[in-house]
Amino acid sequence: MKPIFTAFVIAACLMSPVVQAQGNLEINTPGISAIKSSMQSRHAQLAPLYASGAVGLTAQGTLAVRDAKAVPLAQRASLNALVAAENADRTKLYKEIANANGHPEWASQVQKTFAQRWIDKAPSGWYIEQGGNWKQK
Amino acid sequence: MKFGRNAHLSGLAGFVVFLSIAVWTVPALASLAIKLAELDTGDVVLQQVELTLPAQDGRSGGVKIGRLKFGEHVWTSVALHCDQMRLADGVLQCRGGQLRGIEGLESAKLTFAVDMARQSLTGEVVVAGGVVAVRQSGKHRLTIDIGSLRMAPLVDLIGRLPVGAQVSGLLNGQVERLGRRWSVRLNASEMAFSDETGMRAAEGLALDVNARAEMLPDANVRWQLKSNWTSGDVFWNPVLLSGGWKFDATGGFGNGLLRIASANLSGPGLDKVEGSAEFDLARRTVTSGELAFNGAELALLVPQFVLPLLVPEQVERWQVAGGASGHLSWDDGMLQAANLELADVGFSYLGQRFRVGPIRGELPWRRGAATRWSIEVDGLRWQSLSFAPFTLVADATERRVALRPARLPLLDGALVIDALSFEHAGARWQGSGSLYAEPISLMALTDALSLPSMQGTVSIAVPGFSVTPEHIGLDGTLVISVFDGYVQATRLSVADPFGLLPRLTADVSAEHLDLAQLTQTFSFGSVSGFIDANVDDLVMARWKPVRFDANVRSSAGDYERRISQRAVENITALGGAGAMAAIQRSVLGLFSDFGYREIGLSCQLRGNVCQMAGLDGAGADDVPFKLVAGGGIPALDVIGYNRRVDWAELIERLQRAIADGAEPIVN
Repeated sequence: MKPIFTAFVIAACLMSPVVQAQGNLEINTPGISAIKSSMQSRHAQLAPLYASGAVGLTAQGTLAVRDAKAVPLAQRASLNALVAAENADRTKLYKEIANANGHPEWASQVQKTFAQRWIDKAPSGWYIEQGGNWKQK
Repeated sequence: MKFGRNAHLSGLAGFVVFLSIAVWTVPALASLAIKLAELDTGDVVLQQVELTLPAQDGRSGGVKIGRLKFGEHVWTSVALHCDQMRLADGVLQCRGGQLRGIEGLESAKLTFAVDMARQSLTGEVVVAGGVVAVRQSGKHRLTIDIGSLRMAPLVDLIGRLPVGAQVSGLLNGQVERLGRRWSVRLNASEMAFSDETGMRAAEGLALDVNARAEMLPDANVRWQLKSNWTSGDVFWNPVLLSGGWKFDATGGFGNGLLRIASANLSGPGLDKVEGSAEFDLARRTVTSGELAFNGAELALLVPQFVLPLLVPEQVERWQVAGGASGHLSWDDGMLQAANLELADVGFSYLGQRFRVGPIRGELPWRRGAATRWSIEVDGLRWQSLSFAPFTLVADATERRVALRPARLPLLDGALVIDALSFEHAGARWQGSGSLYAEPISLMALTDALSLPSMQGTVSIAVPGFSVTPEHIGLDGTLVISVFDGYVQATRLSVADPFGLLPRLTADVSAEHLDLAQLTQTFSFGSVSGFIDANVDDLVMARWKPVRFDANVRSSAGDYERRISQRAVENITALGGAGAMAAIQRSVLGLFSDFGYREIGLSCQLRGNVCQMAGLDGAGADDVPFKLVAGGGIPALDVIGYNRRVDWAELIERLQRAIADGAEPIVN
């Protein structure tokens, strides 16, 4: 799943309106690399959770526990921690991209762009948030 | 026959008394219909009641109820049909009874007998896969036996669950009432529940509950409870709990106060919790109470209860060990005192990167009074740097903990915390203080950190610093004496120090560094002389530089200035292979070292690219620029050919040059 993940990040970055406006978005700082590496290593754990519907992609570019019942009870605390850790990384990623490009004020725009790209690029079967409700792609 | 709308009878006993009066007045063989406008027994209100007795014993009969209210639940058009109904010798019997109009009980089979004279009732309801048997004798004795009752239909009957919620399991037990005394023995097994999202759920629960309560004449209640959760798991977001917990308590209730005279709790990771308390139910506060715990295994309890609540995204990063015991007391609706004793407590972050412990100590706290904390720390390790054991003593007040000056031995020196206090303000803790270091050998420090050995000492003077979970900032200057000069950092600040992406900002300057020592240390060749350096606006993300304006210049003064052939090669090699080819055409190979007049180099790092300049200042890209201006005999200028250098590549070349320099070199 890692290539898919990487494709998401690159696609999200390159298709960003910010990129189109600036022509060249810096996405290769040590900070961004560290976050991407952290997210990549977590993706193997998250992939089956997307597929089972336990976790869905929110319209804010974060993850949310959609149906914890898809996960055995004993693993639900770990599920929570996993989603919290991923969201912490994602929030940092958006800020870091904005910072790396010398425009901290872009953070919310970067987040919006990523949110839409995560959803656009999600495989069918994953759950995404639309209009406040969950919908399966 | 009609009762007035406001007629009130006392429960079933009252209903039986009423029936006995009504039935005694009619002939035994006549069909009988009795109508009641309303029967209010307190919890249960029946309206438009019509009782139909059969004309002949053993035939069918029944009761119709226009409106039945039980607590908050209301049913309309309720009917009880008995396949066989009999009234003889003051005993009303119903067999094959079936209810209609109450969801969840429609498949229930009822059998009961009401003895009018003795005012007793026996009955049995087969419902939800189990049996509920009821026996009432007179006004004061009631027994309800519950056998293998499935909880799902029971919950449906008692109250609707939210959409998507589920409950299942089996219930066995007995409820008894004798006068003012009630006792309940219940056993729940194979129990599970879940809300719609599964964030509050349980599976495989087995639970025993024994409770007793006595209504006292003064309207208070005296109670006792014993419960044993033997197996199963409960996930109550974000905490996961497994069985093995026991809770026993005795107490009372009355005047809006719940009193726990004594309570005991024990479970996995917690040997014993004992307490007593009084709760004001209206205010939802503990008006007074005591609670003591011991045998708390932090390795189990902290990841289970503390980390998921405080730092859910970092649960996996922290590891905790050791034990704790403590005591809490409340009065006047507030926590008045607390005491925490730590026994060989240790914690680490991200494996062994940051490790503290074992720690022993006592941390008392009193409202409105100062207390003293004393903590012995037998180990503190950061990266590969270990501190020797030390003791921390602190004065604690209500919302402030102030550390007394503490000396943390480190290598051949020590870190001295001159002042450090933590205050709780705005729902968070923040600390501030000052520190300095007794001189620490730089050689010992670099060896401990597996860095190239350096001569000199580290001396730190920080007149002010601030600490929050997200930020560490230094107001003063951090000074390192090294290579006969010194390096100092100002405006030093670390954001997210314990997170994934620590970010350091600082201004760094160095004065009069001995190049001979510097180049020897890093096996870079040999350069004699001194340099000054500035690294302004330094930003490091995850301890790697992402931005700075750096400038290196020869120090002013009169001193020998020589540069070895090897050093020239290495400096030139940093510019790439092309530059090396150009230099090789010169006189480099003819001499072992050269004189120089001045060294000057600057690098502006932006977006992984170092924009370089030399002695002649900034210029157009790729225009040769002078890094070393020759002087003396023989003299040699070192020229750079590419002003824009990829930072990662530059570091790689530098590391390669240093690594090559480790080999024997003949100049």
